[in-house]
This record gives sequence, structure tokens and C-alpha cells, in this order.
Amino acid sequence: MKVNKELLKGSTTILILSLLERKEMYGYEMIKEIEIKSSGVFSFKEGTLYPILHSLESEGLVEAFWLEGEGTRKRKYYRITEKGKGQLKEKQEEWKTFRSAVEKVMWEGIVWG
Amino acid sequence: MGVNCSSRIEEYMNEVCGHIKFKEVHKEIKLELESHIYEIVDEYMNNGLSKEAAVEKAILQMGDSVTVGKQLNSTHKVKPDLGILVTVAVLLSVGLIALYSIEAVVNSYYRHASFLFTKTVVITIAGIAIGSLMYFFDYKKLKPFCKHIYLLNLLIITFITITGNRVRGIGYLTFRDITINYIYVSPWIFVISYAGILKEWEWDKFINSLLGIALLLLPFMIYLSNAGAVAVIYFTTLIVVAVASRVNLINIIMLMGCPLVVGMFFVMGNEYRIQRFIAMLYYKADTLGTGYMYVQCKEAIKSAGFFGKGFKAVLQVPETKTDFIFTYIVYSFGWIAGIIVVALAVLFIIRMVKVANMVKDSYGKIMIKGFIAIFGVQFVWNVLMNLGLAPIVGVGLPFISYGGSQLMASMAVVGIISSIFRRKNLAAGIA
Repeated sequence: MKVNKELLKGSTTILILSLLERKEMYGYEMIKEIEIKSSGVFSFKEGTLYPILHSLESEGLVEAFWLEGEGTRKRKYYRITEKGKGQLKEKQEEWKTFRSAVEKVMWEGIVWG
Repeated sequence: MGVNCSSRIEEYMNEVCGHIKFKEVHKEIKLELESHIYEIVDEYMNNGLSKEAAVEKAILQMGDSVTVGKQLNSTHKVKPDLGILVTVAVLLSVGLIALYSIEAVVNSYYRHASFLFTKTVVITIAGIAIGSLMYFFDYKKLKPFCKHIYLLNLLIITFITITGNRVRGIGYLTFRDITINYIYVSPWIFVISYAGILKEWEWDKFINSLLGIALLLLPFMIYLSNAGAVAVIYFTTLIVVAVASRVNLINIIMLMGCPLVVGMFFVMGNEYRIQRFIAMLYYKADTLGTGYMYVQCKEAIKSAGFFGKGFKAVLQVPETKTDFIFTYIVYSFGWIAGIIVVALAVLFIIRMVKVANMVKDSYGKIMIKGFIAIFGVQFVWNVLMNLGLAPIVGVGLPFISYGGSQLMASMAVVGIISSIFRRKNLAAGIA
């Protein structure tokens, strides 16, 4: 099932930050994780991940560093910052309120409809 | 076959980067996206696909190059830091208004015409031009030349000290009609050089560490024979840059110790300097001698009131256009104006500290910290001196006091800081 693009756009920040809260990752690794965890619901054009990562970086929510990967390939890793953790908490709260509100409306819709 | 595949990826990358206006990020973005593409290709090839098919699928998966490029362009759109530029613009305007008022007073009371204001307008425009040049110039290109910059700067100040025309003890550089107050400009140049040298200097080796300390103290000695104020500015800046470069503690203590001893002898060995210091402490006792300036400034500031005496106020204090412009501003435009100037200076410094913390590249970061030290000492000393709380020396109020070389240097430095800010997200050392 494909999810509406607009819905995806708002949630990628929270998705990326919560991934990075667990460990440092590079772009490709993030895409794989998201795909597996969401059972393929979230699959997007992989190049568009980088504009998001780079803007998170310039906002100081994540920081990046290069590491030598397996073989000779260099990988750019991202790590969440303290500011990023704070932002994530806020977004999680927001998401919870949003979700419970949607659920409430949907329930009432079913009961009264 | 291999060539074909890599050229296909290259082509994709060029399409993406073609949309990103800030060229200095191209290298890193290419490296990052290429690495991603190769990860996908590897995976497909492990699943038995041919390399060509794998590359095609990988590029398809990356998405439209126009979309990716345009999105990256908007995240990497670079702007200078507005906080710094706005505070500087307001400080410059305050200075221009004060100088305009002083010029008007001089022209109405004396026969000879004064062009303080006009000259400063021209210098400000030139400063904006130099600052903009610095903004577009990649400061990292200076790094390989740090040692040369040090040597050249040292040579120039030595030359000025030996041969230059001296005005009140300070050597000036003169070309025909133009005199450049290079001694006051040179600490900025040392910061640019030390930000690169100190980190890489091998402090662990005993001989190197001694040599390093000697090389750093040499300018200090030269400054002492010119102007004590510049020596203090240099010394503070040196310690800040050394700490920012993580020079080890023993060397920093040595750096701090030697000048203090030399400085003590210097002050003690000169009766005039002792007198000036004592005058500051007991200014009331001697209102006609060395305490004169303190009493004049205090009276002027005290009598100003909240809103001052107004535009074109006449103040009988020497050097109102340079070192005592703060007193003039308070006298004419009131305590409120004084508070505004101090608040602007504080905002300017705080904003620079924030910018320094945002910068990843250590060369740029150390350089900004050194600049903060110079601006900081200038602001603090000048204001305290105007309030009668610090010895009177030749230290102007940055962006406000009259003086071409200083103003141009300060504006060029704001350009360099903006240049560092604009490149703050670029990681250093991407080969």
C-alpha cells in the first residue's frame, strides 16, 4: 500500500530522528531500516533523503562525519545531537496528540455514523 | 563496461549538482550520493543482476535528478548571518550620526572645514566592498599560507617600528598622502595566521615548544615599543587562540607568564605609565594633570541625563571623534544611547560566539574565536575607559570611532566571519 505523499513529508523528520536516536547511521542504512520496519509502506525516492538530512544538519539536529566503510568506500554517518533529541521528544508528543485526536474522531464517526 | 557504468553515475551526479548553486558543496554531495548508489548496485549485483542493469535500477531508485538537485539547492542556499550584519549596520549608523554631529559642531565654531563624516561615508562604502569580497572568498585557501602570513606581518610591524613616522608613540605606514595605522590592523592578521599554525605546531617537542613561544612573544615585544594597548589586545587574543587550538597547559602558562613579567618591568620602568595608572585610581586628586580626561568624561556623562543635550552638542573633551566618541554619544544622545551602544556590542559578541559554535571546520572556528577576543577587548576597554574605569590608551570603539584603517579592518573581518558562517556545513578534509 502506498501512503499519501504529503503525509510522508511531515513524518520523515520524526522517522529519521528516531532512527538516529538508537544509533549512528549512513543514508543507505537508514533507507533499509525504514523499509524493513515499515514493511515497505514507507518507500520513497532515495535521493530525496539527503536534502532532509542536510537540512537537519544545518539546523543542528544531527551532525555528520565521514568514516571509512568496508573496503575502501567512505560513508557519511549521521548522529543525533542533544538539540535533535529535544526536537524528537516534542515531535513525538505532537504525534501522540494528533493520533489520539484522529482516532477519537474516527471512533465517533463510526458510532454515530 | 565498467567505464560505461561509472560514466552513467557521473552523468546523474552532474545533473543533480547542476541545480545546486553553492559550488563548494558539490564535492561532498557527489561523494555521499555516489556512495549510496554503489551500495544499491552492490546489493543488486549480489542478487545476480548485471552491473549495467544494477546501475540503471539504482539511479531510478535515487529519483529524478531535477527534484533531488532542486531540493538540495534549497537546503544549501547560503546566506550571511543576519544577526551579525544587522548589529554591525546599526553600530555603523550610530557612529555616522555622531561623526556628523561632531563635524557640524567643528564647522560652525572653527573656520577650517571638517570632512569627518564624508570621509567616513567613503571609508564605510569601501569597507562594504572589501567585506563582500571576503565573504565570497573561501577563507580555507589562506590556511596553507599561515606561516608566510605570520612572517610578512612580523616584517611589516618590525619595519614600521624601526622606520615609520610616529604619532604619539605609534608607528604609522605612510604612502605619500595616505597613512595606514597598520600596527592596529596587524593583530587581526596574526589571528588569521595563528588559527592555522598553533594547532599543527609540535608542542610536545621541547625545542619546538620554546621556539613556538619565542615566535609568539616576538610581536608582543614589538607592540610594547609601539602601543601598550595593542600589546594587551595581542596578548589576550594569543591566549584565546592558543586555548581554542588546544595547545597544552604548560605552554599556555609559559605564554601567559613571560609577557606578564616583561609587561611588569615595562610598566614599572616607565614613570609616565605608572602615573597614568595612578591617575585613574585617584583622578579626583589631580584634575589639571593626568586626571583631566577622567574628570571631563565623568562630568559629561553625568550631566547628559536620559536623553542627552541633543544633536550638535558641544563637548570640550579632546579626541571625541576617536577614543572618546562614546562619551560624546552619551553626552549628546543621553544615557539611553549609551545603553543601546553597549547592548549592541554585547549582542554582536554573543552572536559571534554562537556562530563560532556552529562552525565545523576547526580553522574557521579558531579564527572566529580570535576575532571575538579582539573585538571584545576593544569594546570593553573603550567603554570602561570612557567611564573612567580603565587606563586611557589608544583603543577605539569598533565600527563607531573615526579611523579609516581600523574601520576597514573591522569590516573586512565581518566579511571573513560571514564567509566562515556561509561555509559552516562543509566538512573539512574531504579529499
